[in-house]
Amino acid sequence: MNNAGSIIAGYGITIAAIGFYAAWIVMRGRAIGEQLGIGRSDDGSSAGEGEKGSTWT
Amino acid sequence: MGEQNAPAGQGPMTATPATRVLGGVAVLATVVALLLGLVVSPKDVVQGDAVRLLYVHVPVIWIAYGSFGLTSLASALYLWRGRRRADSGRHYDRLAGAAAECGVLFTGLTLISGALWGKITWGTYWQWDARLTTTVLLFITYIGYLALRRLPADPTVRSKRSAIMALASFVNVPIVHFSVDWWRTLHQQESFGLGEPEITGEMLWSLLFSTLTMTIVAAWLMVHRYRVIRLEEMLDDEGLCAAIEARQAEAVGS
Repeated sequence: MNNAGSIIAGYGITIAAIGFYAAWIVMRGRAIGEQLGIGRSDDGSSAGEGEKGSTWT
Repeated sequence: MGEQNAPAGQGPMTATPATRVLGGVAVLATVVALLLGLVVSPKDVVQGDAVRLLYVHVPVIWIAYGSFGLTSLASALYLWRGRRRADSGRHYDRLAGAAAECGVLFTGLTLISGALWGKITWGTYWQWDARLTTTVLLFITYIGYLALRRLPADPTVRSKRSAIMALASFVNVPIVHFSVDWWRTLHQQESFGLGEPEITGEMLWSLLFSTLTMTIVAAWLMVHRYRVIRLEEMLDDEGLCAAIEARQAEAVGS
């Protein structure tokens, strides 16, 4: 493949940027949830106020 | 209240079973899109292997256009209907913010992937060409929009200002898209529009599948970002309630 460095950089930067952004969103959601004291029950399902963070509206 | 308190280290997830499935589909689709773009698609007779970068570059700008379109739609709905109803107003405002953030990310990726493609094809990363310049302006404008959303202000005032700026900023989207038709530019004209596409076969399917993949990824990002904005609002509301209670306690104590 010609220009392999540029092509791999293009794909790599795109995947890395989207991956970092996705990870930041998830981590921020967890951090705020901990501050609010809402979360999930032991069986992994949403509990109480945790549902508030799990819906569009 | 007891069941609302999560065990330490287990904050609320912004995910639901549906978004977990969406995330899984996004990861699988990304793997397939990589195979299509890097292995299955043939070289272009003119561009050679550089065409592989277009399977990233073209979908990300389409997603950016769509994201900014969603931001404008949500902002218009906020100004039209949302200000009269606080709950739906907040919904539209969050949707606008989440979509704009995704749009900025994808516009940034458009600029980077375009620069890499330009270096191979034109011999330079950057030219002050009409398409490139208007895309940078679009990127900067929406960064300004995101900055405006973070300014300290009454939430209603801030939402109204943001909605007006979102509608004004969207004017640049058609300018970016049609810049290659309106001005003589270094950037090539569109090869996939409403008419007969100029690409066919594996190249066409690679582009379409990559676009579908980016759409799924963007949907996942927007849904989760929307939910995090909602959590941020809850945190702000809780902080405000605590401050009011502290002030009331001070007043009673004095």
